Amino acid sequence: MALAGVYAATCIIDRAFKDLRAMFLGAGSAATCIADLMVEALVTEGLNREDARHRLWFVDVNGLVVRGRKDLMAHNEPYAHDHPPMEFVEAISAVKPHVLIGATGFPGTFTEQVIRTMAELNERPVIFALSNPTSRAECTAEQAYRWSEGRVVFASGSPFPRLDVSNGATWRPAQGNNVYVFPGVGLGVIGCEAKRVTEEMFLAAAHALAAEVSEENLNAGALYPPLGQIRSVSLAIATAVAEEAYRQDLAGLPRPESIREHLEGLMYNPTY
Amino acid sequence: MAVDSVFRKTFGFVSDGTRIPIVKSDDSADVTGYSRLHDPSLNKSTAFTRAERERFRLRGLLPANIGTLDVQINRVLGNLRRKASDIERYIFMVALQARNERLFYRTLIEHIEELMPIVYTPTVGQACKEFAHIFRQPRGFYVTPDDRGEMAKILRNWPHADVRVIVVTDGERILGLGDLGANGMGIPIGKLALYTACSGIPPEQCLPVQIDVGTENEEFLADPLYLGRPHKRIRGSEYFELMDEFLAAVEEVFPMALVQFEDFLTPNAYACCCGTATPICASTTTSRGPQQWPWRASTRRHA
Repeated sequence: MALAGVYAATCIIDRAFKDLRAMFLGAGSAATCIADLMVEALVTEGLNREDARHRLWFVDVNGLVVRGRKDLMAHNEPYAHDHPPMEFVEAISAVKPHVLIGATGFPGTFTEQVIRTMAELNERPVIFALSNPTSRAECTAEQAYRWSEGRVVFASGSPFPRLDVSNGATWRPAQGNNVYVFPGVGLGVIGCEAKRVTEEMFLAAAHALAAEVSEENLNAGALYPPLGQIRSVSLAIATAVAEEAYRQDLAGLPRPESIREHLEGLMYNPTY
Repeated sequence: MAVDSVFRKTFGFVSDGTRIPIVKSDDSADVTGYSRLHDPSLNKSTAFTRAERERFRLRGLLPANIGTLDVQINRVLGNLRRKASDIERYIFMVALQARNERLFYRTLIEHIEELMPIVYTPTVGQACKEFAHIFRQPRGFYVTPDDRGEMAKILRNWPHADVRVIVVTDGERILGLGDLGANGMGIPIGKLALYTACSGIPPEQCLPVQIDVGTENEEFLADPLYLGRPHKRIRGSEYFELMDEFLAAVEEVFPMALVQFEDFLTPNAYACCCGTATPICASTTTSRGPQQWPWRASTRRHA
């Protein structure tokens, strides 16, 4: 989910995915899972695993996660790089991330100083405040917008209301809702009777989701397609997931002539 | 071209546990009269045509004006919008799902932006907190430590045999709300409604499961209306043996099912999902706070 948002964000900030640096606030399992998937994605773009991990930095309550810290959990180790220890804002200035991802469960952790520092370093800072519900988001959509002088590329875990910004325009914060992903993955998996669910299938899902975001959506700052298109988005994701299952030889059903048509034929379409 | 719900073939179990095909169809007159109005997969309520009213012995049981699905959707929306709070809207939608499945899903699909926050986050969080108080009728499948040794047998009590997606929780970390015990059932139910609405997984292929191993929630333990086991959680080997038996029974009874673990404590989800003899899961994260999302697809396939 977050990965698809990052893919889409690269189109807005005009930087190749393989050149990105990202920083995570919160070194728990949620952030680590996103990071692990980003590493897989970077590896498919040609980086070796070690270089891919070096693109990703973690900050927890005790500051930047660096090698030699004694308080790290096993899942932090791959992302504990050789670097002097420092606190969060200092670490942003040192690492210069393009993308900042919050998965802390604690509101207010993306302070004005954090957002302003990101905005100084980046023409279009990418800020994902993923903790739910809205009351726990690392910062509000409005704060991200205001403190970055409107330059932020923002997504949250729970929906924030539209924002009336100057010159009469409204800004619609993106919501990285996982509903964009799981139904399509489910349909893809059961539709080809896949024997396992793999990282590669989730990568395929993220790519398929990002591909569903139109130029028009991107221009409006949206990182995800409109929710009203969820059925066709899910079908596109399911198709990509099933394709991947066939590629990995994990599908239990013989390959249909058209995977998409096969899956579409399975979809419950309630009518009288 | 998508298959119309009414012509799908599905399977059920008979008393000795054998799978039997069931064809539920608008054409079949096996279910008539009040039974048809109370079967959520067959009920069309006021939209039964004149011919259907004759054939299914519904004359006199319905008001005269024959409606359409669109008219009914408008009535649903009107009812929803006049309600004072989202939790009231949630209660209304749950009741609609139990009354008229096609109307529920068609309304959800066509008004997903408005209704997703009602049937899932954020309203589902409040619904879970208040689950025991807003409860109308059971939905989904409950597993308790009392079912040890009989899991496969009781799974066959589920009316549908062709289950493809299971969402299971033990209620220990529901959204950001902590341990909600058996009240967590709102999550598998809501999540599966979204599977059906968003990617068209047929409703009878979806199974919401609550593993009720107790709760540490003192407020619930003291509440006479609480619906789960009013005990502290079982832990350690007792817990994992129950989960192992549940997953083994799923493999036996629903061999085609994809199992999604939702809102467990992360280490427990991973232990259950990956700690089996055949590690067959991949994980990703939900974008929701500190949480993971393990999946498990069955390895055994029936012919």
